[in-house]
Amino acid sequence: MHLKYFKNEILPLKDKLFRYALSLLKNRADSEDIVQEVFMRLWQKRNDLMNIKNIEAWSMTMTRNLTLDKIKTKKREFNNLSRIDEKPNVESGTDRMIERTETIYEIKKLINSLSEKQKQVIVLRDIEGYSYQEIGEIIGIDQNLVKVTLFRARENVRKKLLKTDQYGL
Amino acid sequence: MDYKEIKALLEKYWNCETSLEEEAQLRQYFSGEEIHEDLKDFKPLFQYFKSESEISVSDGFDEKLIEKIKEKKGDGKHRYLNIYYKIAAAVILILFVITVDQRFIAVKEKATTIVQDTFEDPEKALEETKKALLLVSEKLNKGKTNIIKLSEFNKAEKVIRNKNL
Repeated sequence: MHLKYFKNEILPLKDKLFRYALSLLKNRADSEDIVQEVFMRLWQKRNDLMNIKNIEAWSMTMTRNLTLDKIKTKKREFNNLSRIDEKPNVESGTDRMIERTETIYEIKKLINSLSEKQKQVIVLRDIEGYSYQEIGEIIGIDQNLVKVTLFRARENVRKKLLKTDQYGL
Repeated sequence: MDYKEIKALLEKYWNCETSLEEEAQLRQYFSGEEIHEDLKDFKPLFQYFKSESEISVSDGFDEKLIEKIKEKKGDGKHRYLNIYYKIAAAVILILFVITVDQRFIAVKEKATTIVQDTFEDPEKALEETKKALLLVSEKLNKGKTNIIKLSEFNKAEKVIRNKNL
């Protein structure tokens, strides 16, 4: 595989991979590092990439695995630091975009309050537009389970949205 | 799309029965200005999905990555070069071993030939061996006489040393 092909065919996945990492990590710099690492690994395996059925789903899975590893390491580091009083890393860039209206910011909080799996499924479906089969492939679960998880996630969002409205928030 | 259609689509959405295209239609409807009063509660959700899908990596990400890839590419060439060197070294070593081994075999064969061709009759062989041994002992005796002379020198040296003391 030549660099030109890599640039034209693989590199455009960068934003999708980045958003997925960001949805889990909530840190732009770390998420970009993850995406860079994914691309470096893809480049190293460039001669085998043609044998992979769905490079995009495969890259998303790699992003997910590397991100979860990063989260584990961060948690360990955090525990080792014996919980120094540090505010969570709030993403200025991302938040600036989302805080166009306060309501959207509330939605972000609402989505983040979902279970990790529900959040991942809703991100992959409603933001990235993947099919159930692709989501199953990325997360490593059966597509029926994807549908069930998505149903529960949307149900939670709907209930919370209506509840928020009831209280006039 | 009219209100009824959107409401039906939204119901399908909550039940996870919408296709990706229908979900795109919902996002498009909610990103517009004219939204029916009954559906306004769900506007922020679809707006959120839309705004999240617009987030991208920082400027300069591509350049940084390509730079890193090019560095790695250089490493790769170097690595392959090293591999070629290793292969060449291995081939030379194998050729050397084969050559040395063949020479060794040739010398061994020659030596065997000399031994085999000397004598067929054991009596003659014994005689010849005796002759050879006699020759060796003669030479040894010659050497021995010279050694005796040398020991005389040693005795003389000792006497001189004692005198000096």
